[in-house]
Amino acid sequence: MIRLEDVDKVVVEPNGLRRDLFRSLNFSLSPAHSSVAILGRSGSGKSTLLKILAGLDTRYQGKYFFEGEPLLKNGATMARYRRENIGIVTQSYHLLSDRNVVQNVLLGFSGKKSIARAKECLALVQLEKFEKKSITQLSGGEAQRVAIARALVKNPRVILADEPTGALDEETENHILSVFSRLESEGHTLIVTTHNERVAGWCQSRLMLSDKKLVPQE
Amino acid sequence: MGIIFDMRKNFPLIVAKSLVFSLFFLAFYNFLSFSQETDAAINQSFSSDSEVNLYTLTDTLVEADEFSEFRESKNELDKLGSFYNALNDGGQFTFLSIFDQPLPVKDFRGDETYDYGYGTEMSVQGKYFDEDFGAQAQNVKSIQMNKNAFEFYKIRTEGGQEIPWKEIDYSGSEVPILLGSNYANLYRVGDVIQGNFYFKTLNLRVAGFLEPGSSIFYKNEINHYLDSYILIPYPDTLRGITDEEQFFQGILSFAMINGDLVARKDLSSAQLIEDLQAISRDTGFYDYTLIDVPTYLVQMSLTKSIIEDNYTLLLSIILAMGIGVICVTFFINRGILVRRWEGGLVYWLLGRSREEIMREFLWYSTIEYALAFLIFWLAFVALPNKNEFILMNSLFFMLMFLGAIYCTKDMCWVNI
Amino acid sequence: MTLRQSGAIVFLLLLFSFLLSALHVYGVRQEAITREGNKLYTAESIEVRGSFTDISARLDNVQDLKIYTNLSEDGDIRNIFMRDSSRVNFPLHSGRSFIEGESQKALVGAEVVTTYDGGIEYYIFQEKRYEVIGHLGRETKSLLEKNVILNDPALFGSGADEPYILDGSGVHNAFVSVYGSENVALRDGGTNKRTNVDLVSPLLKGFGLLLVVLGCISTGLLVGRYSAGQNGVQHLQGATHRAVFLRRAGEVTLLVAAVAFVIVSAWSVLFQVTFPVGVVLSGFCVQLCTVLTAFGFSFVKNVTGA
Repeated sequence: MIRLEDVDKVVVEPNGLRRDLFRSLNFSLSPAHSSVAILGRSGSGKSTLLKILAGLDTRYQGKYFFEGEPLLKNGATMARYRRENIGIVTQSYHLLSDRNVVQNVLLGFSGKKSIARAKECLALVQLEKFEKKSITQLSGGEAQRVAIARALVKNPRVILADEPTGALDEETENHILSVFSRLESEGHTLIVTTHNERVAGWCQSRLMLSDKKLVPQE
Repeated sequence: MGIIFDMRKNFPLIVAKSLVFSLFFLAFYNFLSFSQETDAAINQSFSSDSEVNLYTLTDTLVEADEFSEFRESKNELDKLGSFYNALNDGGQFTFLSIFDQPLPVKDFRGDETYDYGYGTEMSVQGKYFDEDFGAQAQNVKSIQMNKNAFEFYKIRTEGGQEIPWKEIDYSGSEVPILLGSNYANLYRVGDVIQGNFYFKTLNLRVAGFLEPGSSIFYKNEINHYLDSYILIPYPDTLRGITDEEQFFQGILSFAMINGDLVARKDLSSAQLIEDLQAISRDTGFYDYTLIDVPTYLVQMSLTKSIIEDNYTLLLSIILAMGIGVICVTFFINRGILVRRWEGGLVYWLLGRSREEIMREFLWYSTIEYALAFLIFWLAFVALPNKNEFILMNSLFFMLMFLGAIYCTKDMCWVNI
Repeated sequence: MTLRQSGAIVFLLLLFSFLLSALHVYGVRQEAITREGNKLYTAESIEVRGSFTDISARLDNVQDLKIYTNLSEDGDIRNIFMRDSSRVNFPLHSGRSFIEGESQKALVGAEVVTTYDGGIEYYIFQEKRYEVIGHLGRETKSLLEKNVILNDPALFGSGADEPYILDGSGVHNAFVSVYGSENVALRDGGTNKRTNVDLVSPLLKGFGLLLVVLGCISTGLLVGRYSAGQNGVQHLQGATHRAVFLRRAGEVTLLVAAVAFVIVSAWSVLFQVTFPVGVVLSGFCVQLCTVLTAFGFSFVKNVTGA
């Protein structure tokens, strides 16, 4: 479904030095995969890889294929691709504080908005009664679930989650994982970057970012 | 939808930015308005053709007996009339015949501010019963001048009406007159006012109103404004004296030869006197004296420099304000865009392209500038110095200025 | 607050202090130009007839009342009475204006004939010597070059009605309310009447002041935003919100004071312009209050999370 071929990525460190982040990195996600964990040390490039997969970062060498077709690495093409196929959940949620919960979820629609669908997704993440709540009143786990609901409203093929339980306690983490399980069962594919062994263990397959490449891990 | 959320979130900053812009453009509009008036004032009263030497011509028949004897002689009065006609024909000089006096007006519609004594050390007489009219009258400020003076001081009427100088005839049924701008609410064009001009009742027909602030150099004062005056035109030529009108024409002729001679700066006073003597030889009138009036040029150049200094001062303050506006809006823009960035980032994550986000942000900016324009317009409507020409100029400047910011700065910021 | 953020705040404070001071300088120069073009009178001056002693006593609500009497037919030589000499703003190219309590002094234009005695310049009027303390006109060559202003109470008539020119804020209304409109006439403009400067200038000053206020509000809000992080840290480390606010407000006060000092010094050194202490203090207070109010608003908003 998604394939990255020979990706080279160079980053500039805060001290001005250039560093190779990825060299001839390959990644392949087949429809058979329901969830993939990407593991790695801090600074190994997990978030950057997720940005590349989301089409948020196009400044790299290499090819990006979606369902066998190469994608043009320009902003407009990648934005359309992301809009149509990808749902994103970030570590810092990226919710708009001036809107309430349901209004944030509605942002996830690219075309016609459906409040019924937004409510359905909120129900899926067990936030049925939170629709009118202000974002500033939510806990970390609730905010993360709103972000997941927002990613879900357009029914994307793939959901990318960057450290989805990074700042959450064990109980909330369990809650999030149960939501992920439901998504998996509904046919969504999850790509999760994490350094949390429990989350990684939950995923169907695991890849380790090591020595600028992705290495399968048992 | 996004616009409503943006307005709600950034309302104080948007209002501040719009206020700053509209205030600056209002200031700029006013500066343009002042600038146009400065140009007009300089072109009207201080242009290079006004830079001339001025001499005052007065008769020397100061003794009452001498004066009345002269006026009783038709022959002498004819000489005086010829002298006036020759002066008006000009040589190397231009004769500006100007004289002011109280004009008793029957059933005058104005108040005491038009009274001859108002604003002077003389007392205000107000309305009184006039025996000649058999009605109530008031002595109002009045000034007479010939065509040369009218043209030299570039006096204009509000409606562009012209005086038929060739047809001025005090023995006719009506005499066209112009009223100062303060009269605009008292009389209308075409109204006939009855006035006692040198003991002769004249029907004075209102031919037009002077532009506000019309002024002449008179009695050593360059800022002699005519807003409260009735302007009676002098005829171009004095015709022969008739028996019935000898008294009236005698006084009038003397009043008319009292005036100023305007000569190029390179014409010496000796040459001017020679010219006058030649006219005297031709007409037989010698009873006058010529006084140099250097005050005119001095006052003219210093008054002009005051107007120009004012312009420079206003220009510098508007420039300082312009710099202030640019700096304030830089920080306000920064504040707004930092706050918008939060939303822009979410839109981007959710699959909107940069171009789409940029378009949306430009709509938001359009609201800011539209609000600025609206505030400007509402304030403009309340301004007393409304002028469409200046408005068009300032709108053009506004569009250029805002367009430059709109197309460069905002877009750069949005270019995430 | 980073160095760059501090730099931005200092820059904004400098800019708006400069604009405020420039507006004051503009006002003073504008008044000088107006007075020079209008025989030293303002647009509020009126011509009246009355008794000097009565007028000066009864128009006590006009704080800056000035009464002029003509001592020559052409109006070039005049005598003046001032209720408050600190409010006399004559255009002078050298010397000084009248100060409280002094008399027998004169201000003269450059073309006026004067005499010197012991290095002191005198103007002689009706065989009486008046010490010349200042020279009228923004420059030597001016519309006031033949003018003389004497400050001699003895030259005002006794109680008889005479023509006077009165000047001062709201003097026309004050005179009419006491004496009626019988013996009063508005003066018919000076050079300013040739343009709409009397209308435009106050508008420009008003817009300029509003701009300064808006600028100071923006600066105060920026201080609040830039210092929010540091304020939060100090509060976490045990300082009360009140203490944090007062510390920051103190810093802002010092900064505004330093900026005011720099601006006043710069005007003095670069343009030889000095400001009266009262003007500096009121400018400083206006700026400080506006900045602190906006900062306080931002501070409270950050603390309450509203």
